[in-house]
Formats: sequence, structure tokens, C-alpha cells
Amino acid sequence: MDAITFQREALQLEKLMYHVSWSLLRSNEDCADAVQEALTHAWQKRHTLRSMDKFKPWLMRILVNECNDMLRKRKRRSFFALGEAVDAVAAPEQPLELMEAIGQLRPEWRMMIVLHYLEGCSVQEISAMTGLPQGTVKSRLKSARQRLGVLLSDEWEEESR
Amino acid sequence: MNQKELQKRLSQAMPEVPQSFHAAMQQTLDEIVQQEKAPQAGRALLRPRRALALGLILALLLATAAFAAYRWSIFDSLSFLTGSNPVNAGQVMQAHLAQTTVNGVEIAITEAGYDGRILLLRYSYRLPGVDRAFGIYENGRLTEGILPEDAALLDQYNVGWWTDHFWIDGQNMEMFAGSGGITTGSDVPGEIIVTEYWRLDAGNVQLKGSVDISLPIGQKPDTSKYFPLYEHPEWRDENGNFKMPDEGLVTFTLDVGDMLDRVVTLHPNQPVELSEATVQVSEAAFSPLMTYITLQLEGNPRALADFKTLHGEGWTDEQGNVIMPYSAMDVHGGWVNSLRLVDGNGTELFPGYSGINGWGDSWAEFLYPCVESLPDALWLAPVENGAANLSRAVRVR
Repeated sequence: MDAITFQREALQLEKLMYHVSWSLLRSNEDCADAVQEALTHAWQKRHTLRSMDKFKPWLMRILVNECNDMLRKRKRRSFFALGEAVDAVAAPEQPLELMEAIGQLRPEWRMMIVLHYLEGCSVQEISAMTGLPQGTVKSRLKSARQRLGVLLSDEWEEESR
Repeated sequence: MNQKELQKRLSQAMPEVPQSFHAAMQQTLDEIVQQEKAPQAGRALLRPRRALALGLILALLLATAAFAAYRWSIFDSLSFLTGSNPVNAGQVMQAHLAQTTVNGVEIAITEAGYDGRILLLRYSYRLPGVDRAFGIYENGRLTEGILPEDAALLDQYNVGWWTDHFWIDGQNMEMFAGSGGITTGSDVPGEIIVTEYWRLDAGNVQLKGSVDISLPIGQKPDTSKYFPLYEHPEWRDENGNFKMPDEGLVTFTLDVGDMLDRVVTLHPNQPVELSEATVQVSEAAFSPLMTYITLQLEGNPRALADFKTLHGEGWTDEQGNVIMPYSAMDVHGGWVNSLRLVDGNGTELFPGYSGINGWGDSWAEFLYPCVESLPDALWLAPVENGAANLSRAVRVR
């Protein structure tokens, strides 16, 4: 892969990269730092990409890792809580606005909501982008939906895909 | 609210890509393009690996005399996982498994083995008409990676790994969590060596007897025939997996015999109540090559409450807003990371080596090289200032 191809393919993912980094970091300044680091690392590691059809999950995984590193550095502590239980937090007195509710989700849940419902990524695609098993993606999506429903005081209606 | 409503509301509410983000991205990509026009020497790694140093290497079983003299070069690259010279290698590994020439490139499967959990592979490409070696040495020692321009030579022959799938007896295999690989050069002109480790246990894949392993490392096909897979249902089996194609593969046979039966697996399940959590070793598996230990943890809610009283509610952004509440893993993380594998006297089996491979609210995994002879008592104990604290240890055996 030459630099021009890398540039072209990466720019096509600009919106997705912003949404994913925003879902984890919630700071435009941090998102810009993360994408710069991720692109630099991806270019240095471009030989780990074995076929161009994997470019999107490959680059997104590098970005997710970069965002997680930044979150870790904020507190110099480990970041991801891998438990799948819904946070036992009471419902707010008044329903929250959507973005306020999204902001109250755990970062990893927020990322699931953004990837699945905003970007339309399948569980399999999210698994490839994050390196998480598909079962974990599903359980996090379920937890995020449930929590979002509580925060919005709006019951979730399941529907088949 | 249903899926469509949420999608619509999200689309309306999510912020647009800000100019600062676009500028940062564009600037970085422009710099990359400029740098390529004026290339500097750099290194390309196939995949990241954990940079770990190992201490003493012990082994579970005796090496067989037949293989004692063979030097298994794969462990030069996998020493962080298995130790640099596992004495049981001869029982697990096989050499010179396949050799073929594709478009003038010699491809050889040089070493492979399965310890009942993990599949180890080493193969090489030898480019024709190249009179220089690709190995990069530091202080006389071969390091990981090859120069990008050397790696690009392989593309000229349209040969090399072309998809992140491989097949065992025709069954599709994915890159299971915890898998990885390393590319190096050597002192042989035109040679590229690839070492890979596949955590088949993470995919619940078990091998027995003689198996055919097909790697996508031959002539690169026109991948638009296959990808994206969702547009090519003819290449998906009933489970949605990538069917084995009939091109671009190098296949070899590996006889793993009864290696599964050689893995000694214990389920101690002896809970210990600590202030942070109640913990127990749910599984300890000892293969001829490695040791795999899984810990189960159940956080103490009171400890979490105390932790929050001391440290606050959770992770915060720069404005101090909590973006993720603290959870059990924050409370017991310090203890988990201080654990070492010790015998009944508190003596470390692998001095200074933590073996921690990951942990969460309710689990932790530790990987070590093999243990030559199992002590009567085996513990994971916190070690501070060189001393194991068995009063806060959890029993492995």
C-alpha cells in the first residue's frame, strides 16, 4: 500500500473515525490527537494489513486502541471494565436529552451505540474493529440499550434485523 | 424507541466532524505522503507483540532424544511466550513440513506445532535474484521487522498472505483473540521469515491426529472475487464463514497426535476471601510448552464503595465529569498485577515475571512457560520487595 492509497482510504473513513473517537474521548482536542497518533501508527504498521478489504476494521482497531491508551493515560490506571452488568444507577427524575444520556454511558457502551446505531455496523464488524468477541459486543449493546432506555425514560422495542 | 428511531435521533444529534479534526487528519496524511517521497529507513512489523522478558524456563516433560539435537529457531521469536529454549519442543514441534515455489519465490513451512491449546507456525519466503540479506541487527542480535522496501519486494512477485483467514481440514479459522505474529529477515539473502501463534483455545478449536493446514501465502488471487464476503454469498458456508478457496494456498500436514491428552488441566476452585474480592483459580492447564491459569474474581461491593470514597466516583474527563464509574477491576487491579507464580515456600518459579495476560471485573488470565515438575503446592501470590505474601495468595495446586 502506498501513501496515496493510504491517504485516500483513510479520508473515506474520516466521519467514522471522528464518531468513534468522540464516543470514547468526548473532547474534540483529544479526538484530533488520537487520530493523528492512530494514522501515524497505522502507517508505520501498514505491513500488518494483509488485504485491503480489511483496511476499515484494521484502521479502526488501531484508533480504538489509541483512544483507550489516551484514556488510560488520563488516570494512569487500567481502563476497560469488562463486566457486562448494567450500571445500577437510578433513573433520572426527568428524561434526559439523547446526547446527555449518551454522555452518561460508559465509553465502551457509547462506542457500541455509535457504531451499531449511527454507523450501521454489524456485530461482526464491530467485533473486527474492536477486537472484542461477538458475544461481548452483543452483551455490551444490550447493556447500552437498556441503560439508554432508563436514562431517556423510553422503553426499548426489540425488532428483528 | 426502536432501532430506526434511535438511528434517526442519533444522526440529528451527533456533532459534525469539526474543522480541528479534519485539519489534524489531513496534516498527518499529507506528512505521510511527503515522507514517502523522501523515504527514511524504518521498520515494518507484521503485528505487535508483548515485549516481555522471561526468567527461568522450566519444563513439564522430558525432551525426547530424537529431537534433542535440533535447534528450533521459532523460539527465537517466541521467547516472550514460551521461553527461548523449551526442553519439550521436540515433543511438540515438527520441522520441514512443506516447500514449494510460486512465481519464483521459494515458500517453506519450516516449523509448526500444537501444544493442545496454541498453534505455532514458522514459514519463510526466499526471493529470487536478491543478493542482500533482510535481517536487521542490533548489537549483533537479529531484531523484529524488515525494511518496508524489502517487504515490498514480495509484492512484486504477487506472493504472500492475502487474507486474515486460514483453514484446518477445510474449516475456516479466524485470528482468535490473543493471537499474533512477527516478521524478521535473516542472514540469508532474500529471505523473509514469519512466525505466528494462534490461540486456538480462544476459539474453542481442538486438534487431534493428523490435520491439513492451509495458509493463504501462495499466489495472491484477485480478491474482488471474495471480498467483501457479504457480497459473495457463494464463498460463505452455512455459518457465514469463508469457504476454503482452491487458489492462493500452501497446504501442509501436521500430526498433532494426542497432544490434547498431554495437557494436564486442574480446576482448583478454592475460593479465598480478600478485602478486595473473593477469588479462585478456575482452571490451570499445563501443556508441554506453556502454563495457562485463569482466575475468577467476585468484587466486594463494600471495597468498591470504600474505593470510591477515597478516589471519587470514576474516570473523569478534563472538566472533571465522570465518564465511567469505577468498577471491581479498579479495586483489585493492584493485587492482580502483583501476583507471581510461587511454590509452597513462596519461591517464585519465574522470578520477576508476572505472566499477566489481561484482567477484568470478574476474570484474569496468566501465561507462563511450562513447569518442568509440578511442585506439591503452587500459588499465585502477591510479591512485594521480593517476598511472597501467602496470606493473600490463591491456590493453583
